[in-house]
Amino acid sequence: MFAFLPPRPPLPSDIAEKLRPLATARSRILPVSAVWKERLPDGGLRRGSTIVVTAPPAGGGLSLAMSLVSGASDRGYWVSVVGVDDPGVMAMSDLGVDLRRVMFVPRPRDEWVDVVGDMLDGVDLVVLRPMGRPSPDMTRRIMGRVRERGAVLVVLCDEPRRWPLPGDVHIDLVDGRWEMEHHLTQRHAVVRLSGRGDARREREWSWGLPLASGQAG
Amino acid sequence: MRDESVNGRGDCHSRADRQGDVERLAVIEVASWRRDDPEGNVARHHDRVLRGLAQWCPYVEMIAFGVIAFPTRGPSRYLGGEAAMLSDLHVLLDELAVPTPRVGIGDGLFAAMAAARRGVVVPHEQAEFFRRQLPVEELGDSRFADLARRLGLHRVGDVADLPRERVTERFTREVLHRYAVARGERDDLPEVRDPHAARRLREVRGEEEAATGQMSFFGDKTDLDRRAAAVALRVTRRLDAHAVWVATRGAGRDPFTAGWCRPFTAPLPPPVSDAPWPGHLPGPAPAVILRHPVEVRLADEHGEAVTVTSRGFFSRPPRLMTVGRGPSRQIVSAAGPWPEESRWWSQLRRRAHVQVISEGNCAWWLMAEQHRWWLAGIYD
Repeated sequence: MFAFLPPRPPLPSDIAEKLRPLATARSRILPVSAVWKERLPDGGLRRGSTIVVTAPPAGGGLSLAMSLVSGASDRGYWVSVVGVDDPGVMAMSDLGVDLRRVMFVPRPRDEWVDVVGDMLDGVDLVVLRPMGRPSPDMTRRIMGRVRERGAVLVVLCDEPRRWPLPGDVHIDLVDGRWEMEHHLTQRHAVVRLSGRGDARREREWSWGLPLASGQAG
Repeated sequence: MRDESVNGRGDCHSRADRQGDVERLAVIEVASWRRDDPEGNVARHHDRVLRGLAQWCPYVEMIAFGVIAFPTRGPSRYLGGEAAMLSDLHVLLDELAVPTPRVGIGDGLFAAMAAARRGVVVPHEQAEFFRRQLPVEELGDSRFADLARRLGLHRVGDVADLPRERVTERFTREVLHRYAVARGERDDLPEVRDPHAARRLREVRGEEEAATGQMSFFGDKTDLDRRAAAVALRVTRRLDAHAVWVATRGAGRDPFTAGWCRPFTAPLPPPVSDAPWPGHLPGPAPAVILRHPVEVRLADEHGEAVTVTSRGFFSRPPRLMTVGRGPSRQIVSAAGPWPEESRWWSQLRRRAHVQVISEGNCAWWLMAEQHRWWLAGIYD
């Protein structure tokens, strides 16, 4: 059903055994940092869900996405970042991401769908900046795979509908204003959250993303 | 699409990226260091040379014993061109007492290593020609090379011209990989990076997890870590050996040395003891730091180019920035320049850094060097 293009090389059996995530009630929500906890509908990232982050080009979407996954990486979960060129390591670390548990696939080229499929087998969170315009069918398959694996997918878009299907949660960076006093100090970002289920009640807040310290809050 | 708009990069950069991601590399080959020795002397020589080169280019990598590579792009090396860079490099290799190094430059690791064996610089325009005229043995597998010779395929180009369907149905996945290298679709051979070399290097550096080999980056190894390592390997097999990157956080707040990425199969980079930039970029760090800075034009409201004066001020107020061949953006405000002086091997280079906010509330980190501007980071 989830035909992910050509057959993959088999995983060693001792690793394959460990692949299926245990969906106990407690582990259905992946942890987030304190500033996100009070703002997300489940108080965390629900396994199997897709979160679509939309921000204008170079407008703070990357900081937002990395801050969203920072809490989980800090608690021992792995994050894979697919399609983000030249990540700023210091900024990510300042946002709270534990760099020891992040892997980047900066240029998956036209194989990004397969790479995301591979990554969903082995890490709990995937941050994806899709190349080009994924088709609805491709999108459906990826989201199905996210549900099947109990992972969390954060899609980073620079315009609405770049990801053609609705996600479980949508986070839009509706405004971002840099403050400069002799140098850049912080970005005041207005963030709007909407979605299905508990996220149906739309909420909006403004915060520093990043603050002068490099953190979000 | 994304490249031009999101990153604000110029056409030229994004197009180069899309051409199979081929990076222009310099390779240093030292014939007498091609073999490991039980005492670790050869590994220690590599360690010493890597440390020396790291002062000069932060992305130096040991590929195998006797083979060291680094990208030739980047502002400091753009300026004088490759010829000037090579003469700097030869001075440096001489000071580091490297015995008869051969240096070559080419597009991608495969071509750059072949160029190094011949001690030549292959101009970008002749990359295809150079690759195609190489003898078929360069593709690595001697049994495949014998077969190719018997079939009358003597050059890499002859192999590249085979129809894909025939190669796919007749040969193994590994031969397909070599075929893709021959066609310039991939830029390194399957066996080129030697994990043993990486391990030895870590051993002589006394990095604790050395004995467990190349996977030791994944540290204390929970089940989650093991799963992650398995998929990282799977993705490197799907794409290529340097498709998956991991990051290391260094000391300090200098964006050049406070953290860096490397292929997860590569050994830890040597610590940079003499950071080239004593100051640091004020404010939060940029979320994107370009490995290959892109040229930027800064102009005032009349379109006159803005430079940094010898006293370290803007020559005129910057009002417009143009990244590569992209559209011009209005500048809302700018901070800096902050001067930096660094000793890039044997000569003093002056740089200045500025932060710029453009229309649409995007913030950028630019770098000035000898009257030219480079986009170095994006506050995404």
